[in-house]
Amino acid sequence: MNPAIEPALRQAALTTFGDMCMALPSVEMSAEQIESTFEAEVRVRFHGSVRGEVSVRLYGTVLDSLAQGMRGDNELMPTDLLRDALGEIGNVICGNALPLVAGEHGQYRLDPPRSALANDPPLGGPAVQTKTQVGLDGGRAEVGIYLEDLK
Amino acid sequence: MHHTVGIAEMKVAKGTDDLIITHALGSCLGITAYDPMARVGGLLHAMLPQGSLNAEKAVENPYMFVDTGLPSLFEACYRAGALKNRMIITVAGGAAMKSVGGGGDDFFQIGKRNIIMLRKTLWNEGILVKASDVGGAVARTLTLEISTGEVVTRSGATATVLLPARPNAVAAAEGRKP
Amino acid sequence: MSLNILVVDDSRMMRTVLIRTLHISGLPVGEVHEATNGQEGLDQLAKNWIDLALVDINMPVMDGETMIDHMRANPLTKETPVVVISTESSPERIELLKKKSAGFVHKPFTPETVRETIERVTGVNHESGD
Repeated sequence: MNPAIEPALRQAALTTFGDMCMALPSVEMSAEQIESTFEAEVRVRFHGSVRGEVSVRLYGTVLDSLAQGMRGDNELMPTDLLRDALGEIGNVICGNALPLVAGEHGQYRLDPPRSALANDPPLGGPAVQTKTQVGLDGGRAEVGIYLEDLK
Repeated sequence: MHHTVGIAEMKVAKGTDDLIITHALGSCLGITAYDPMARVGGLLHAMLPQGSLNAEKAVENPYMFVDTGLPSLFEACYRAGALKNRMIITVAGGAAMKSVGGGGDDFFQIGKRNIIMLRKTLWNEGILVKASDVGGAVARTLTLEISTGEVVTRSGATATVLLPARPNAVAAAEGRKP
Repeated sequence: MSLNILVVDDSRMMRTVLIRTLHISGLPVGEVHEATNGQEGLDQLAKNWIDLALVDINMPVMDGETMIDHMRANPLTKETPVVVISTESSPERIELLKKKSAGFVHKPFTPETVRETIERVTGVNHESGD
């Protein structure tokens, strides 16, 4: 297992939640954050010199405020826009983590994100081999990666 | 007249000879707002990102926090005659300062969190930053000259002009003082 | 002079963020058109006068890179400035995309970076209206 993968996932998550969602992510978490329940998931497949899938799972109640942070207001938004925002979060985390995983010369393409809220059918997909967590206001995010070469 | 803004303080001025200055910006943020037409400007020195984490303190002193201090700065500028669509914003500080004994500010990434909260507050207000001198691991001094709108940061022997003096403001100032 | 701008991204949220950035940037923005993939982007270019295109790369139906290649092959759009706005982080890919476009903005971006890149690419300044 490449020891650089977990820091790469964490760095991509911290940057994306901070710079795109205007959230204040933390590496440390309270017991409440750790025990928070599943809220939503997004998965992004990639293929090229590395192949696999990145998964971002949100716990607690964080998606509304992440999406509001992106849009710059405090209005509740319809579920299709929440799914869309979640998709973009997955896309950006995946795109930022991969160069650190695949190396500078890596060549790969991302598929469109697949996202699911708590009441949607589960997404399915391969189990992640490496994952990391960051705390968010109201819960946490778990970011994981599955790499085919590690099968 | 020189006005010094301390930590968790704010000052707004309107006039030709005023200079607002704040010292020792580490992980704190110094934020200037300036309306070149009204020649109204203000400077906030905020320590921490979020007043909502300490509501009592935020009510007692909104200038301590970025998310409560920034709206207070804007309101004070508007009261002095500034208009939102003419406001020019600059920001300095947000450094990752190492404190004695390790850990400290850098461990909690206060500087970075202050910058995120500044960006969130401005994004929600629909205002962009004109110029910034943030991050790194240096302490900065920030000055705003009301007559010209010039904003300068200093760190050690290095001075950086974030916002150059505006010729029209200079001309207007000179016109008023023949 | 105001800029007619085409925003091409499959994410509605991202198009909303870019359009909000344009409107608060102080830039002289004229008509704003939207497309959800490269093919729709080309359709919009055929129907409207566009001064600047902001184009994502990873999109269904037709990706942004293919769209830019089509634009460059068409005499009517080959000079239209394009700013690529993408999560692409590999230095080699970014170099390649920069050769095909006028500017590159990495996601996540700040609205200030988008404004500066548009100013550099178009030569239009957000204070030109002062």
